[in-house]
Amino acid sequence: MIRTTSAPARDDKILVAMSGGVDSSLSAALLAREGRSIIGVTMKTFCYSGVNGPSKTCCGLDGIADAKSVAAQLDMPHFVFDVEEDFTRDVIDDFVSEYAAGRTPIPCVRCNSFTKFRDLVTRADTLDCAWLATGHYARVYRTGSGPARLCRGVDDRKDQTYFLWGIPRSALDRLLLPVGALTKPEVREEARRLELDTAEKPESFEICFVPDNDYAGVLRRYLPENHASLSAGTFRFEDGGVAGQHDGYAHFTVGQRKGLPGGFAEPMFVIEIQPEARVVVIGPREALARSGLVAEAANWLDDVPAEREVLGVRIRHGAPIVDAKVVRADATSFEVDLLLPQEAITPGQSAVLYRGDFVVGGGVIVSSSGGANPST
Amino acid sequence: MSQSPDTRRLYLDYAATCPMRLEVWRAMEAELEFSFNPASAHTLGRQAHRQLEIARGRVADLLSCDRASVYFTGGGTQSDNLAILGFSRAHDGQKPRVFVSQIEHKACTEAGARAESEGASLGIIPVDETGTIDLARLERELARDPDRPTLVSVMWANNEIGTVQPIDDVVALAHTHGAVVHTDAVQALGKVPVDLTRTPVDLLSATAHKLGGPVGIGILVCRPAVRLEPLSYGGGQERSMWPGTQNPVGATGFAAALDFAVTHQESEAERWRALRDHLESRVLADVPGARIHGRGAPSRLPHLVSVGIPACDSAAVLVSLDFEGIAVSGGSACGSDSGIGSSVVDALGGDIEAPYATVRFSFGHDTSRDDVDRAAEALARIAKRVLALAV
Repeated sequence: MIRTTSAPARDDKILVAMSGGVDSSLSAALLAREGRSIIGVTMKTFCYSGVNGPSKTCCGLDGIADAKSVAAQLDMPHFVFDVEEDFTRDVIDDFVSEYAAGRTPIPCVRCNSFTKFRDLVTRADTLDCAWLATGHYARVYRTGSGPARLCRGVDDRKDQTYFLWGIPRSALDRLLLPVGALTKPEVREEARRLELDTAEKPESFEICFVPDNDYAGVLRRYLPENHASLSAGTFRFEDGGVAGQHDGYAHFTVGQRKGLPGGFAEPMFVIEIQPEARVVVIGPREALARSGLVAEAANWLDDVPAEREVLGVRIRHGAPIVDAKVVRADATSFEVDLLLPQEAITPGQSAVLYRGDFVVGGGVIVSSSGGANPST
Repeated sequence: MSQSPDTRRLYLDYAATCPMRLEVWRAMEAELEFSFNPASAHTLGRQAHRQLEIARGRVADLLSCDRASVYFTGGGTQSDNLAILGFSRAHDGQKPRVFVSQIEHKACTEAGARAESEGASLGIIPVDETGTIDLARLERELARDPDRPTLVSVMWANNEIGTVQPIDDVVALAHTHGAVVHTDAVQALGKVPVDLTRTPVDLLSATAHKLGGPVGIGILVCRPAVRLEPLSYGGGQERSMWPGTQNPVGATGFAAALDFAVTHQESEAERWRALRDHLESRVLADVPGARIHGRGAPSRLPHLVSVGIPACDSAAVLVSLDFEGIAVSGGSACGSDSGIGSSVVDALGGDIEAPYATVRFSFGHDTSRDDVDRAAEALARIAKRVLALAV
């Protein structure tokens, strides 16, 4: 298979990942309008049987039916790719074990890193597709000779690069993101204009395998009864004093305010989770600020940054990109100092590094350091 | 597209639906002016009723059964459900038993599972590596508890791999033990001889769209001695077995399609058999590791070839064929959406480790040797590419 960083040739086949949502539907429609040879695929990530009621989320069976109907509108081949086994192992099992370990994972990052981009690239090869297209709000920047670079989407509010840092570089070379150059309202408008069946489909904000956002329910289903993360434990202040009892640390995430004991002069927040002791540490807002972080399981989509290089970093979806100085960075991990302290740097979330609009790479936050005053 | 020299549509999925035949179209068109309610007492209603009964009579003649045994329904699934659930519900409180083969259509296995959840006992009769039912096992099961009301549901011919069951033997065995026999003949009609005088099944399901008729109409043949509880209730149409306004145009389409299929069955079967054998030998010669499901069975459908390719990704093969304009199914058309493998192929045993590609080719009246050659060439080329990329 020819790997190229330039645009697809006229006859190159393109595999389009279609979730059944409006973004990927329009991606397919835009490619179809260009007269591309496209094949649609929808991943069946897990079985909804046993979950009551129809699913509103995007990757479920509704999604399959919607994707199929758009594919029929566009007269393109479409098939369903059953990835349940791999998805369960790579995404759901990780989600459960991360929560069990007191961290707050992002399954969408794992899904992109493994299920979508690793497994779909393999699938694209078997279908003789040189290219893979998705409906993500991000752009791939290609120059004649250099490797492809991942760039933020034009819609600042919808930019999804935070979820894409883990994809293999080889996938990036073949990736097409047709809606990355549009804003969400433009996508809706264009989908309406083309009368796509999914034009009015509401956006999904849920994790696809967590119905009604009840992630504790998912944990209860997968973890043994009486697992430490779902068993009673202690709220403590930073100085070790007992602040009350909680019903399982899996119900908490750093920065959370809901569900904490009341009666304090100022609002309290989760500062830290100590899984071994089943302790949830709480404190006032200022205790949330941290000035450094360490991330592991790193993946680089551009040159590994040099020590002392100043980059942008995003520590949470929707958070601003803030300046950070690289303390160290190697193939598998990195440490940065934040020029301005950030609140609620949460183990399990991603830290994504940017050079301007380009994604350099990212990793999973394992620890944060320093108080409100930068440590170096 | 430069990489696909020939992208003309090639339809080799007649077992999913046989496109409507012109004769059927014409027959239905002529009836459209009788689109009145057959239950109406006025002249127009009577004319519609007459068309419905003419169709019923033709169907009965073509199957060699009594016209009063023919009930029009909504299709194959509906008939299968009426037979299985109708039987178990009619014998509610008498500990009814339902036996189905391991490779029945979902319309039967799911109806059986439902019957079980309502209190019937459900037995699954295994098949051998050709998909042929284990008659000795069936006999042992039937002998175990002979006084309970018992239904044996064994499809006449399998939709995924084409195995034709020894249905005469099933009937003889079941009747010896006082059991009632239902057969899903959806795939058998028009492909193998179906004569209900020779093969006295008690219940038979069929649907028009596999025969070149319209979707949405089927029949259940039900002998007078068999007691069924209807699945729905209403104005008593179809002698209360399938109530709801009857469909004379659909019934006419069913009868016309069945007429053509039965009349041409013998000559078409001979032609298909030659195509089938040709396709199979080409596939076995050119596709690495390929096997033909059900090949050793004593009797098989003449128009259907089910190919298994170990270590090969099913969707990749099917989509690539579609991309070249060649329409086929995986295991069955009904399973195509699920993205999962075939339980029928699994039931045959052998090493069927994922990934495993199953490709079903099925022929119709216009399938030619050139078509078969084109399909065989495309399958060999695509399978080699997919296999080369397998990890």
